[in-house]
Amino acid sequence: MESKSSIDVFSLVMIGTMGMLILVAFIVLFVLLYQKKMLAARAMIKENDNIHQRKLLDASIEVAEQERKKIAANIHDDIGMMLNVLKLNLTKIQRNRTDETLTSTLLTNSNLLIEETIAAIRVISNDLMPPTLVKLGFIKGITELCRQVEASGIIDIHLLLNITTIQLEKKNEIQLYRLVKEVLNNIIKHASASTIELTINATVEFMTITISHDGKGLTNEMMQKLSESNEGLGLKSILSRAQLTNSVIQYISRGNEKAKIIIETPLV
Amino acid sequence: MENISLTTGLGYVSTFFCISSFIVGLLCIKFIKGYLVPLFLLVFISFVTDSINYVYVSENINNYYIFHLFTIIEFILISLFYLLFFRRYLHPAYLLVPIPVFLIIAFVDYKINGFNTMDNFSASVEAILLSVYALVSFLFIMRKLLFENILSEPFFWINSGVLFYFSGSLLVFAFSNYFLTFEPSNQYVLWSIPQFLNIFYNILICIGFWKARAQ
Repeated sequence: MESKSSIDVFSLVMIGTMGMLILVAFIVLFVLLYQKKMLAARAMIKENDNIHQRKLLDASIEVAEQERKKIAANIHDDIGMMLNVLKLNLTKIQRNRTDETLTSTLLTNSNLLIEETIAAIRVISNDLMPPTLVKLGFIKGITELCRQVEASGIIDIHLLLNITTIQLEKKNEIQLYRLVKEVLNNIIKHASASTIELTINATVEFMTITISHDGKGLTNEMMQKLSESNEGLGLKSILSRAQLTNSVIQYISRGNEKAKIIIETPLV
Repeated sequence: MENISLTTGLGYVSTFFCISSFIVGLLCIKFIKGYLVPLFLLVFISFVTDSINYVYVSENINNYYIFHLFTIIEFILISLFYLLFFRRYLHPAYLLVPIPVFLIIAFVDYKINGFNTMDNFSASVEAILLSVYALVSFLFIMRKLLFENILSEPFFWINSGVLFYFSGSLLVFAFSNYFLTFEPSNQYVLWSIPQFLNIFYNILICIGFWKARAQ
């Protein structure tokens, strides 16, 4: 009886040990396979990320190209045309020096043309680099942008500032300004909104720009989908600028609530 | 008699592999750094202990106290191996606290069993703790994806060795005194398991040392 019991214990120990070893072998195998699978998944995420980055880069290049085209068209169509007319006026004046009435009319006309050319150059220059932003900083630049939008009469815009100045890197300042401008532009073009509210808050670490409007809003998912499509160049440029400034941008749209776009930028 | 010769034979092979891992460690000594240092020390101590054991057995001297002492040293050095590996990721206290706890357990084991039997209680606790360390390490590696190529990492091979050896030997350690008292003939068959696993464990340590050199 004692011997039988001893054999039972012996068998139990042997079976238990074998079971343990098989289990350990499975664990080691599982670790190897899981690691392989996870690394493949990580590589895929990295690849997708690279594709996304490439798309954003393409978009920012395309936006820059479009801006160049717009500037070229403005220079050619407005300034070029006005300077041509001015040249014609001067030639006419040269040929008809004796005709005082015609000379006087042409001079008045030329004077007007020069004024228009100066105004057109100012618009292009403002488009390229807003002087208020360059001279007085981000907050004043945004204030001026809101004033321009309000003055256009297309939409009501209310600016709420909880700070008076903010220290941003110069390159980030211009990128954030263009980001906000593109967001406002998108709201005006696509959201059918009648009022926009722009709030700027800041802590020691972050600056938060909240843009809310009463039009059709977007969610983060919709924004992502649209930015990945072939269209939505503006959205791609927004994402690209957000990435350049290390900002986090959120699109919030919930039922009857006002749609919101929150841009959070690190200040340190 | 056959069982005794099998165990003795495996014992020689096991010692040979223990010496082998020490030699491989010596060949890769330049690359034995950080968490590999306690393991190299363990391999050396293991080799010395095996040699002393052969002398004691041939002289028919009680060598149980060597087993008792070796269990403590083994646990401390393997704990240090894990501690040095995980120091970048975890607070050292997680791996330092079990050491004094284990010393108390080993002392209690000595008080109960003395030096005339195997230290089955402390050896079992050691096997459980080190198996848990190895399992948690695998879990940590999987969750954090620490390695790009896990097969080229010394830690993976050594951790696998620890898991195989200690989890496989756990029941043998736990029942060693039972078989020593009630069924000495089966005890020899039973001891061939840790000896066989020790061979495998030392092979994995050799690979681990060699991988450190390759890295």
